[in-house]
Amino acid sequence: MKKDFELEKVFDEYLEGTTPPSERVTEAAKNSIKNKKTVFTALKGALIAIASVISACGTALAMYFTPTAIGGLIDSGGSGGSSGAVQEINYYDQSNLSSSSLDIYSSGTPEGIDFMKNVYLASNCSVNSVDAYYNGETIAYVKAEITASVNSCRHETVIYAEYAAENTACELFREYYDGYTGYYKGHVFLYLDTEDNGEYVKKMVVEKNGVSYYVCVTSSDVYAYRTWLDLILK
Amino acid sequence: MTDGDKQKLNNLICSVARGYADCLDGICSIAGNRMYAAAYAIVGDRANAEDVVSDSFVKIARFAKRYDATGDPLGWILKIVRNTALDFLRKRKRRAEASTEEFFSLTDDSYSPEKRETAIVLEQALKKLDDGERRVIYYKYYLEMTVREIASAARLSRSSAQRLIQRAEENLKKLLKGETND
Repeated sequence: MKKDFELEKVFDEYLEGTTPPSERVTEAAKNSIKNKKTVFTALKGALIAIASVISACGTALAMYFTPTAIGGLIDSGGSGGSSGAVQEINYYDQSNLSSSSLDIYSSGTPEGIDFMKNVYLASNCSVNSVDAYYNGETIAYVKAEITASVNSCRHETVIYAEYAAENTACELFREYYDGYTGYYKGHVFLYLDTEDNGEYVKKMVVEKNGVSYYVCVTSSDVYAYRTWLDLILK
Repeated sequence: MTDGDKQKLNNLICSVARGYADCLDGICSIAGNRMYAAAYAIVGDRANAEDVVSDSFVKIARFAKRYDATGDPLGWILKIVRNTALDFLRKRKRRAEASTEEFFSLTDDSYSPEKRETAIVLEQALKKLDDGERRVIYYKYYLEMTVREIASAARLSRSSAQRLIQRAEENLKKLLKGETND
């Protein structure tokens, strides 16, 4: 929906009449770019110097480096994980699913979302919606949308809990399986990092007790994802 | 903002992504006023608004590599400013965007004298809109938000948001032309 042409001109004039911010507003940002370049240049220089020393010693010493497998317990979720899911996933279409609002305190609530009761009770969280999606009479997945404030940072979080057969997932979750492999407190999970308007967006999939949890967290806190993994994996 | 300016902004963000730090000054010269106005509307004073704009530039520098060059550069920048301003308020435990009347109070002593008279007419017209109409005008004309984003922020369906925007625009135009009774 385009802006009204007349009003757009009026607002352009109005907003341009403000005193512009001072020149110093870009200083910190420019320094952050220049400092990154300085560190990279210094590191590059150091690596070249080291390489020169090694090659000078190369004829006198024979050294064999066996690459060790670095894996196992990385609390990653940041960079450093290995790429790609290894299992084949069969995807089912979500267009035939019906949905309705879900009361997590009702007797028909599926297993694996008890943690939502803690979210409801928490003073720093607001549950915007909880909906169940059905394939006939069976719940395919539950979706919860939550807004939270943790350490003065906003988290906008969507959690899906899916009850599908092994190696089966809804088409909606396909992109989650393109993520990198990470480890968190002994649990393997897949994750994808993007950003949205200057905030970190992390999409993760983790399994526990036969339930697949897909979590999308948007926050200015790069470690926001830990709050939600702790909640689900506790 | 003209399409030419938006294209320049687009190119400048892409250059920042490639490490050209001085292009941030270019972004400031094109969009600085609007960034400041968006920050000021939320935090309410000049010094804090400048801090928010400064922090927003740090985020632009950090996330420029992930910027989608096919998108709207001004919208991307202003959303960064809004999120930064809201985080600023949260850290100070202040309520965000409580009153829509605060959004349109730019005509202080530092405002451009040549544009002041027209600006005051606009501000007075905006005060006569209801709160919901004023809020969607703020989202659309200040923050360059899409209808989908406005619907989400205002917790409306897309069709309701569209109708509200249309109504707000019609009412505002009438007020600016002096066609409604006070």
